[in-house]
Amino acid sequence: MKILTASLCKIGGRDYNQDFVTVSASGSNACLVVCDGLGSYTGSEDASRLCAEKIKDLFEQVSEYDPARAVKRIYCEAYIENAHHFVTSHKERNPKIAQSCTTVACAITDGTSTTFAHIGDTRVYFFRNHKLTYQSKDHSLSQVAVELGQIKLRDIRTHKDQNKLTRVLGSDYFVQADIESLQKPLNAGDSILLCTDGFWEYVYEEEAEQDLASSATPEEALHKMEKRLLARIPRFNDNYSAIVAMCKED
Amino acid sequence: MARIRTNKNICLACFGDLDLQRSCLACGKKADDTPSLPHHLPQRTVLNNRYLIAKALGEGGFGITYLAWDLAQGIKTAIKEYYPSGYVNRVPKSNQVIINSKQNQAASNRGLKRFIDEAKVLAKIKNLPGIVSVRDFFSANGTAYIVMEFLDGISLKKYMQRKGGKITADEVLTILRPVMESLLEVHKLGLVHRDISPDNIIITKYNEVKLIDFGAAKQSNLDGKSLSIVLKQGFAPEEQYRTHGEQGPWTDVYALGVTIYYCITGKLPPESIQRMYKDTIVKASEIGAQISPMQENALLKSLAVYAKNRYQDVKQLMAGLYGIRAAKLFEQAAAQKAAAPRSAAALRSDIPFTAPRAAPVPAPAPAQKTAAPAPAPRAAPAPAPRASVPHAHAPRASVPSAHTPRAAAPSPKTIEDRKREIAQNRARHLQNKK
Repeated sequence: MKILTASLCKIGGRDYNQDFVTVSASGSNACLVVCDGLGSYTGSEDASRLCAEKIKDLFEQVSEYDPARAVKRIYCEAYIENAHHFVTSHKERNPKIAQSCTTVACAITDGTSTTFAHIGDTRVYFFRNHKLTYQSKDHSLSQVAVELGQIKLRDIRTHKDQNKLTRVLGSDYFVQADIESLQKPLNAGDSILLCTDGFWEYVYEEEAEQDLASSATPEEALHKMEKRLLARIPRFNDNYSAIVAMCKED
Repeated sequence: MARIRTNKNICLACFGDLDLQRSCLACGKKADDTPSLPHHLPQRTVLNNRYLIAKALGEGGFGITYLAWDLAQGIKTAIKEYYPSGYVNRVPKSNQVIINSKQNQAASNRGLKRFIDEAKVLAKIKNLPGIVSVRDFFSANGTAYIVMEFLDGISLKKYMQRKGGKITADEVLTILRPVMESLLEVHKLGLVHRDISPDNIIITKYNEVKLIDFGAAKQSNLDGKSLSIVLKQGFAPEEQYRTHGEQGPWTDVYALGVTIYYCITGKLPPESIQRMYKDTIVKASEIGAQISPMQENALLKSLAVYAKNRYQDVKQLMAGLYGIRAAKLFEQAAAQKAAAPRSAAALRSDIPFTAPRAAPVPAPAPAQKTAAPAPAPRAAPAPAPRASVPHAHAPRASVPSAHTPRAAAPSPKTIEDRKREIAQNRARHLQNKK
């Protein structure tokens, strides 16, 4: 089995692109990271870039020596914590960006074990045989409203508190990421979608299922989803980024 | 040749005079004339005809804090400027702060009003040892400024990091005691801090512990929809996340609880808002913290998710945390009363609080308090500050006296002294030139 990936990272209607996407994939090994720097704070594009690159670098370093461990849950926790300290130490040297912070979603896999982690409202979706089986829960006030039964999950997209995050990476204190490990190995037909809020706000989960099922390559699926997005976005929409990874037979 | 002192030729490090080469005649340091960040007030700006801006100390979502010299009194002050980032811009040269778009006007003005209200209330709570005191307040440049005493020290967070990422429960409770005692008074005035965290607790070099950053306006109240913002992570109880959540002393109780938890474990508990539907908090003692069962129970109660299950005010919290311990300390103090004065070893350690037990706690010993600052403060600065911390243990009546050594310590030099010193230095400087 091998993993094919495709990614996009676009500025949308904003002046800056504060999203950052990085992919490292070879054979059935993959490390996918999507970060979304918080628009309200200057320098968040640095935070998102540093965070994503650090996670990827660490994954590559570890998997060079010990590929089996590199995808373990505790290692994933360590990547995120390291990335946090990397971002904060960079911020200490650059007072200009002292406020910056970022969300992060990452998926690491070697084909047998797979770990997803996220902080903030950047999402991880996992589709088994083109059916959505895992979706990360945002760290936002809207998600809390969902958990408390006040609104429905799909109403998050229009909820007023959707921009109010309860957790981010790279701020004053380190907060744990939510980490999810898949029990079963990946099979052909499985796919992973990582995307920022600028993307999932305009692409519904069932549409993603359809597009993944009807596409032969991740590029094609991503293209279809982007088309849906472009039909819906208002002016001055947020940056949008996504990574699609598909498992295929050799 | 006497030169006129202007804002251009004052040394920002020591308030001495700069010579023509821009190095200081008193401290010898060269003036650092690198331009400051464009959205900060430029170095050497004079505010309100009285405060000379030296540099920016820090920046939060709602304001910028500067180090400034009070030209009238010749002492350092910290000045906080209301500057909600993302909502306002600064006009270059004139330093005016203007609101960057019409839709932000209402939100920014509301914030400014709250800033001013907060300053007015803060002005009432002077002379509390555990709270930074406000010296002045004024409006200028289209925004408002609060002048506070300058605290020379490190934050509790940094202190913790320097001690290896966590400290013992005894230690953190010793540090927080003056803060909690002062909070009692603050809450009586109906004011809630809302933003207690290890960043906002400063341990000064005179071993005082002070709470700063009062009334940081809640971010959730500034509405701006399109850009993502982050709410204060970890330290805010659930009522602070809600727009109409009822806040009160119990809000600060939660934040104090998280502060203690963070200090003794090095980790934040899960955020309150998540604990509403999935409470995954782990007892501090289970992740390696040294804490007595009684203190742990008190800590858990202060960390209750819903306000109704929490301690309702700091007084109850203190009773829970210190109850038996305080009694024990008084006992120890009595036992050590007869013992010799502080050992040299205790004085040598420059970090306070390392051994709270080693330092006797002279609870009912007013005589010692007056004696402490007396022996030549410059030759041996250690005993006076050391004394100030244990004093904080003493009942409230003694607190004002804990304040006195400090009042003497930071400004031991009068202006006359300093002038004389500068003159001497200048003479030496000229001699060297010859």
